[in-house]
Amino acid sequence: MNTTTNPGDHRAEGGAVSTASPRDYFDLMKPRVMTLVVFTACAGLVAAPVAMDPVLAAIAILSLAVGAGAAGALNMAYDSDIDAIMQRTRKRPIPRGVVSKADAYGLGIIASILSVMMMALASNYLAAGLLAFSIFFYSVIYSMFLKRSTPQNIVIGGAAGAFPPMIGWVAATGHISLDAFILFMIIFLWTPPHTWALALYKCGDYAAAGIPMMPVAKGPKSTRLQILLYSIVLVIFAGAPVLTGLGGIAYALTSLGGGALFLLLAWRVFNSRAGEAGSAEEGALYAVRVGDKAARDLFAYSIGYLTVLFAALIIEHGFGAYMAVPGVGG
Amino acid sequence: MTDTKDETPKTDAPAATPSGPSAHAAFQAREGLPTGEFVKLTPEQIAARQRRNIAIGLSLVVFCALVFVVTVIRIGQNFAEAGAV
Repeated sequence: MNTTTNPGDHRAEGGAVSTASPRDYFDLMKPRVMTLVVFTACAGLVAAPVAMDPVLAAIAILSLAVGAGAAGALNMAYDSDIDAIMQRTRKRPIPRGVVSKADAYGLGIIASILSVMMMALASNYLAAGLLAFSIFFYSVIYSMFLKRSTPQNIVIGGAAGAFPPMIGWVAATGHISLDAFILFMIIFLWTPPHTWALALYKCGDYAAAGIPMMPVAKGPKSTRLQILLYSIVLVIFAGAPVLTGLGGIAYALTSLGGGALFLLLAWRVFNSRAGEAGSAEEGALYAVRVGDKAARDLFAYSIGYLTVLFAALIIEHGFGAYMAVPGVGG
Repeated sequence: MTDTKDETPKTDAPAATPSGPSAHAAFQAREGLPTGEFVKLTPEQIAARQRRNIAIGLSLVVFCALVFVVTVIRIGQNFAEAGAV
């Protein structure tokens, strides 16, 4: 196409046509969240007692990743107003102005439909239904209703992020079992201490955007206590797979060691002044003031803890390393 | 699609006293009317649009391939089950 300007050519230069690249659309899908979703879903799928065709399993996982990305795009479209206010989210594609809200909604809706459809084809209708529900739960229930209205937003909304291992399990087996529910509960209980640790050192960000995160609504002291309580419940519950026989010796050791360190870090947060008198407003995700370091450490470690926990399940069931814990197991 | 660049736009608004088709087009652009026919793309916009087109095309190809693969595997599984009965 000829783009040189000719005399007398009054066509508008550029107009409203986007310069967004495919990478900008990919960023809308929250690739870091997708990574954790894929990983935990793999754990559920691999740990399931029924072996799935590997190609169909890969397509089911891909569907789940796209579904999670679709929910992320819908969330970013709806939250673009507060994303523009918060330092942490200011560089997302919509606040930067490279992708329009309408485009993000379009991407989210189309990707949602295709991912659920592909999940149904590759596995079963129950897994597809759960995927559809988790997308709906995250993008509508959490993003549109919970997030801006209650400090319990991420406690209830955490269910959306807890679905992937259950979906992976259901994709392989076709039904929801106690073990699938336990995997769901581990992520469900993990979400509050993980997210509140971040909220403690970014509470100024959330307050500016008017989001009633726990440190903003109830104060940092109450949040630190709740982080500790949720951490205790989480670490205890993380031992449940050992009791049902889902987790073997490797998982039990990982759960014990990882859980002990989790509790130690949660205790440090409880005794710290994290979230008090302002917080780190500038810089990257992990940039904090000295007083907030305990919260930052717990936030960073919690990701590793969940990863290692599910990695243990993958290694035990996917690589034949499973050895039942003597005296327990189903 | 026919090129409508030089057509006089149909509008109920009073005539904008254009001195020619191009001037009329500029008027439309100033008013922010999304005709699409009067926008002159910058090289960056053209390159970005091309990249997006390629990405959408590849996504469609991958989607079709996945549906094909799933269908083949499913048919194979059904045949195997039928044979086992």
